[in-house]
Amino acid sequence: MNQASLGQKRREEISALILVSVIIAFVALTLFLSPQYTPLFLGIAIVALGFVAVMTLRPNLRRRLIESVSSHQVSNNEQELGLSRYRMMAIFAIAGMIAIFPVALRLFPQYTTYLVVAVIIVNLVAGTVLIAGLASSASKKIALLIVLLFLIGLASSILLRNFNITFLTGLS
Amino acid sequence: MNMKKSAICMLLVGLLLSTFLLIHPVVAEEPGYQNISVQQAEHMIEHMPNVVILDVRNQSEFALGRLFGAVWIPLHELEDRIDELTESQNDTIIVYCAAGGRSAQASQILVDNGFISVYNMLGGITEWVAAEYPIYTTFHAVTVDKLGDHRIKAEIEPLLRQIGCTSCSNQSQSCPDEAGEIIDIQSTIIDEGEDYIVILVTYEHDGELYEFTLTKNLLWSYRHSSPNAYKTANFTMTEMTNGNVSIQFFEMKYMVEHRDYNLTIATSLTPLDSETYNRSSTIINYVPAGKAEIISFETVEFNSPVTLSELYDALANVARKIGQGYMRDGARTDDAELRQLGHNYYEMARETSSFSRLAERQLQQYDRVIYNNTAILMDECSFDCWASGFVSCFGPLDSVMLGCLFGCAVASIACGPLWSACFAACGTVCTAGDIGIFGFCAGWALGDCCF
Repeated sequence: MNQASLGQKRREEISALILVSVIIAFVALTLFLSPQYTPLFLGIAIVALGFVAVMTLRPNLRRRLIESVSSHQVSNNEQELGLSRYRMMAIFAIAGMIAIFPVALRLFPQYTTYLVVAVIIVNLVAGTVLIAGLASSASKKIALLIVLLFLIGLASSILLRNFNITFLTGLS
Repeated sequence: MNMKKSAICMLLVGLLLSTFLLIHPVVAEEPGYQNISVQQAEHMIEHMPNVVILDVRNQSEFALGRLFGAVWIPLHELEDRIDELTESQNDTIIVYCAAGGRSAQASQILVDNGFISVYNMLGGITEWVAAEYPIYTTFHAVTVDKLGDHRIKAEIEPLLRQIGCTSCSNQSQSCPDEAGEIIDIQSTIIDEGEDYIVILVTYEHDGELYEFTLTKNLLWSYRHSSPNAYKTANFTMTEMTNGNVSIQFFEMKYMVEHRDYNLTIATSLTPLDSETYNRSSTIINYVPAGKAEIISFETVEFNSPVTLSELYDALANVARKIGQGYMRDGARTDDAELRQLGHNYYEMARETSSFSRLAERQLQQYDRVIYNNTAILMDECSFDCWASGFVSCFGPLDSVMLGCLFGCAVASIACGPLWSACFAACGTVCTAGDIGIFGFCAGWALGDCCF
């Protein structure tokens, strides 16, 4: 591994650490403001810890996971062209937005409109970068899947609304 | 050895002390409810799960305004309906009334029936409103100041703050119903033409027979028909004559019969001279078709003189602002009825605004300055509507996405040194889900507001 890629790896690790700190801080804040989500986060933590326990007890599975992740990372690094180099940044932007949005909404309801505008901008810009980045790398199928998810979401919601179907609490 | 003995003694003393401290509140506290301030109540409601808010006032008080999510059981029915609360027997119950008297009685009833965590909110909703905490109300008092052309400043306050709760603050007192004397009025058409009608009105009061003549002249009319709506407007001058006394006033009536709603704007105008009006009084009534009707009431007072078309423009702005408030509260509390009410106000705003432009264009002769204005209020696909719908959909689902990222952060521990790569791969799945949810909620809100 050369000096440049080591530097990049270090930068990624630091960015990931910062992002995780933000996520954990906002999880704590979300739970403080909306305690009704405690079982959800507790359940997720239990499932994730269960996954870690399984990986620790089954070294073969863990090795295969690490191998697949590193091969995916290598193939992506080799094809870092155009927008794909900003893919991580896009993921961080969306992840940051996911963490901040519910808390900001609770703390500053008077700025709802601006928050929604911010969500639209982040989702559209970062989403486009992410999809374009994935499409130009080895993960074309994932890019296609994201586009499909977006379109299915958009179409199904309008159809459901037109037929007056309600299945989410608070939506009618 | 001594050191060891001392340590054991200290430990025993510590244990005894902590046991005493643990037991003390249970022993010392008399069985019963606790009195709390509105600030403590607000903190509990915001931060504690499973808090039941119980309103023990009478129906008219409850209808005028209440705490968000409050359960209503009036004090005199509480003992009979106590089983409605049995599911919440172990939950925290905050009881309130107008000023704190009835809620104290209700709290004692709850404690006597085995409820263990009962809190009486001192000062009741009067104190809550005074502390400027939000209440669920569809009754507002609005004050309008004209700032310039098409610019107004509207102060919207809950009506409860304006009228206070003093009339119903006694524990068992009911708000009096205004029972007016019923007068039998009889109308007879004595003359009728294309643009006028003369009516003789007679009524009896205190054993005496009164009569006066009403002459109505149609000064302007408007008809418009579209596939979805039929709109009519009439501007009439009415002269009420009783012997030698004659009173003149103008009336504007605009009616919209839409596929989804009926809207009426009725304005009564008293002239001051041939160039100005002294007073106007407007009622805007919106009735949605085939939907649950919510009683909503807004009184509007103007501090500045405005012309007739400016009056409607200002009222459209007020309706829009009130609609925004309902939409925001509806999104915040996941209340579909409030959001529907917000939509209704947007529609009302759109129609009133379009009528203002019509009056400005076609009724220039009568578009005069009005010095004293009052109104009572009872939208379209706008961004605010869309944003509120989007938030109520995206907000809860976004918390699930945050959970997804949190799960990724924890699960990536399994990758050891490759933690950041694993987190990035897992995070991609979460962000992909987020983009899908974004699309879903964008479409949902679009459908909610525009179709």
